[in-house]
Amino acid sequence: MANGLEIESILAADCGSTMTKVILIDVIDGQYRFVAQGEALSTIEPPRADVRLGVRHAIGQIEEATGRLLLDEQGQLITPEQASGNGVDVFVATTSAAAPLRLILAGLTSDVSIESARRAVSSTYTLVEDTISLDDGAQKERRSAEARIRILQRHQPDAVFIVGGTDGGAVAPVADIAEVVALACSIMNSATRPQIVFAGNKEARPLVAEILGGKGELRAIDNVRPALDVESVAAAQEEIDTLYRERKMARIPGFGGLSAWSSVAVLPTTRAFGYLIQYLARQYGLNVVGVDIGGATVTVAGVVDGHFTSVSRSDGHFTSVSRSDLGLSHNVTHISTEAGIENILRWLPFDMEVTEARNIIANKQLRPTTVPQTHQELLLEQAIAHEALRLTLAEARQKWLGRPSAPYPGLSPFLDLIVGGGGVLAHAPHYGQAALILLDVLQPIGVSSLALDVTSMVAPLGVTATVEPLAAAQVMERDGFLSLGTVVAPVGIARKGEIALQLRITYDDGRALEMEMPYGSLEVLPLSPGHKATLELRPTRRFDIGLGAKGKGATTELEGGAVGIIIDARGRPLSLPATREEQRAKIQEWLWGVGS
Amino acid sequence: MYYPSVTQVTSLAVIKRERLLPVRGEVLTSMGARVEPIDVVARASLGGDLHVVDVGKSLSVKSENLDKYLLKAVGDTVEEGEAIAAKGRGLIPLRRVCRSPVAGRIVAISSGRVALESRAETFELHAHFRGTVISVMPSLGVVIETVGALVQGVWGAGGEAQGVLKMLAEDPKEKLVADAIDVGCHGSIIVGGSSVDEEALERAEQMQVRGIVVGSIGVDLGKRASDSPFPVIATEGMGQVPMASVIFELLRSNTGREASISGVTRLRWGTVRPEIIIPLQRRGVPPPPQQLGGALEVGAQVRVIRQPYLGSVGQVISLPSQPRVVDSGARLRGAEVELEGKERVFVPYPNLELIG
Repeated sequence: MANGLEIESILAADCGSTMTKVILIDVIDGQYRFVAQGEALSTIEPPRADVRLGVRHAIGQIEEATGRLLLDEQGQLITPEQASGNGVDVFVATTSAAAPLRLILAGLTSDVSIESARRAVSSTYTLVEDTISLDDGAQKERRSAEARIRILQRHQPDAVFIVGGTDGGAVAPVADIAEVVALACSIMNSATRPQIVFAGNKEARPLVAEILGGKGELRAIDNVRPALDVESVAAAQEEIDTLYRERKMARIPGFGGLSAWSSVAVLPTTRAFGYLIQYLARQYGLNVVGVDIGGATVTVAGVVDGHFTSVSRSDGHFTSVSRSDLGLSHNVTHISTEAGIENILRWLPFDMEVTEARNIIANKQLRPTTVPQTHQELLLEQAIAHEALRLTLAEARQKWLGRPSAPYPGLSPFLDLIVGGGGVLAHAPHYGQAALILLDVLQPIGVSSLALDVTSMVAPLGVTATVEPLAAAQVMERDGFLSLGTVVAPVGIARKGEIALQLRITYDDGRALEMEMPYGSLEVLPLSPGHKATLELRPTRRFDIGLGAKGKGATTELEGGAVGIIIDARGRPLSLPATREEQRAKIQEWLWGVGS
Repeated sequence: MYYPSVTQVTSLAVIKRERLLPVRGEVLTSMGARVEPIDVVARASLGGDLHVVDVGKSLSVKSENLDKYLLKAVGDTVEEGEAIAAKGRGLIPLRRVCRSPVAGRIVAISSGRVALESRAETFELHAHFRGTVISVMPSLGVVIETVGALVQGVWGAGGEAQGVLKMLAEDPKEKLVADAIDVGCHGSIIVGGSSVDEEALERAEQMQVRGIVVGSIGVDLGKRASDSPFPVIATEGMGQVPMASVIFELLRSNTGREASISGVTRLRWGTVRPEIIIPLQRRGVPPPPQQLGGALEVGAQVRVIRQPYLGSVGQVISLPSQPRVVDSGARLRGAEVELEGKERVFVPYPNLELIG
């Protein structure tokens, strides 16, 4: 084939819970480039219960835009690419359209082993329906065996995750939990029995296998808590991922056809998203965090202080948290319930009655594919995104504790690059709005670049990398993200109005500007894409910009972005005024500050 | 091409519905049988309360040795106080007996524990609407077909009910208020215009109506409506949204007819929408099957499913090739729609659905 590249064209699809996006990659002038994108409603429910229909609709848009035939008259993919230029060499796909894996976590103590299990299973699309532990006495009704069995009967989970005990410790308590699970499985219809995963004391495996013998399929994996002070979740994450693919992805209507089109296994979107974040971290040696605020799930994936030894393996400093109950469409009422409606409304620059907000939120859940058409509904959706991301990030932050790049407990680590994705960010009418959501919630410290996945390419490129890494790399380099700019956020405490940072910016045309940033302020220095500037930063003695000490400054060269250089001296952690009236004024001030 | 979501609102269609038991049971009807709404087409035995007896502990025996002391097996029925296991035989003075705490059935024995289910209840599956059984799934349920009108709602609460359709509003914008609900509504499915308030829900309960259909319901009333003894259906969503005129008129044209309504709603993974089925007398050739799920085209009847035109019905008059900026500031692709008041508006594609 031309240019020595065996694969010249790739279609990469991401079948989400509400939208299906497809991108076309082709070789142009010897380089892989993004050519076109199509987007259509996902088709997983009647009357269009075949995931491939949505893919075809999205491909149809690419055909319209490029004039290139990709599907034949029967709607089948034309592959490989024809001499006429029609068709593609490779099709790959990711999906988040399946129902999450519903789990019951069973263990000895709710605060140690079950928390480890919870962290393990949060790496993919799961819903922890309930927990059973020997110390669940606080809820007295659960103490009886009947009550525990009822929990299992009521939820009919896809899997029961049994944890507990350190390796070499006592086996009897683990056996107690296994007996309850065995009895519950005995009562269930064999077709609805859950998969049992045992990730506890490895000495207890034979006993657990004996207790559960014939009553449920058991898989034993490494203990998530081999010692009291050691957590080991990799095997559990792998197992949950496998279960999700077997029990959920495979049941998406039309999934067989989609798999048949695909050159490699269809990946869960969150996994492909993670691949690309890891690639970025590895390729450029960066601390990277990616957030994907989807219709059904919010994912935060990051590499902090990673040291990579091979293409497919990190040293464990990659973390990924997915909350399958916080998506902005299908789970929006749950966000409102978990976050609290007042916490959502605090991000609005105008007054909105609680009932009105709740009606809008409920209607969004009933009509999950709709988009805000009015300014008020748009900002409400962005306010909800703040809270969905905040709740997800709270879990991710726990995993970053103690890293060298995370010297401030309760704050984000120093991040080089933040990538935002998902409809609410990618389709924000003003890039400043997307930037502000990321800044308000992630609250980066020091100097970070902000990028937006406007064409929803992260996950498709992640799976593309599994079949043609060069294509993923070249497309990402040239067409991947929209740079929003750079944020400089000094960390420290001062009185409001006291100077936190002095700076001098020198543009590439020689113009220069000096500024003093008072504590509590937010400013944007314009620097358009394609332009460069030199920024001299001089934090005052109480402030750190990530150079290892308070008051330590630096000079750096920056490239422009769609928003510019954002000087965020609002303080960390960010605090909002106490009254709604003051909050509204402050939010409006910040929106204006980023040009929205 | 854009392929929007679809809501079925049709005055005449062939309607087929699976009627399934929650657990395996017995089908009581046969292929081709004519059924009425209250006919029981299948039934099943539902488990009662669960009781776990730790027999091993009670008899002080190891679980692996339990088998020889058990007097009952899985599937056996027991009476309250009946022995399920005993240690020792005959007249031995130290004989220990473990007795069932309830009358019921043994459902599992594992690791020295015996699980019992108290007496089960019988679940009866009704036909729900008048029609013909066109398929029998042994032990599972049936498929029933009828010809009639069908309206899909958006939000629903409660189960299923049947009754005579009674309009209590003159206009789709008119709220359903308590004063309109009198003794004449007893046993009826009452239809309001825009929304319903708590007082009206209470009055409907007092008058023993069989169901309520309105355009919308305030989110604060959702829980209250779910607690009602009858199904409640909203055709547009939450808030104070008038019923779409096409739905209002269809229901008005069927006033006085027997209707079957279901408030059962599942939004994902096997969507189930609340619905109103109004079986009609078969006359002549049945209507052709509906073509659902086509692309949006000029001339299509659509409903707007998001503010600022939520619930408005209109006709697509053009499909601009370029995106347009809407009030939110976003540039979106969409359609020009002529609403019923002749107002022409631009609506982003995702905020439109086909209705008909």
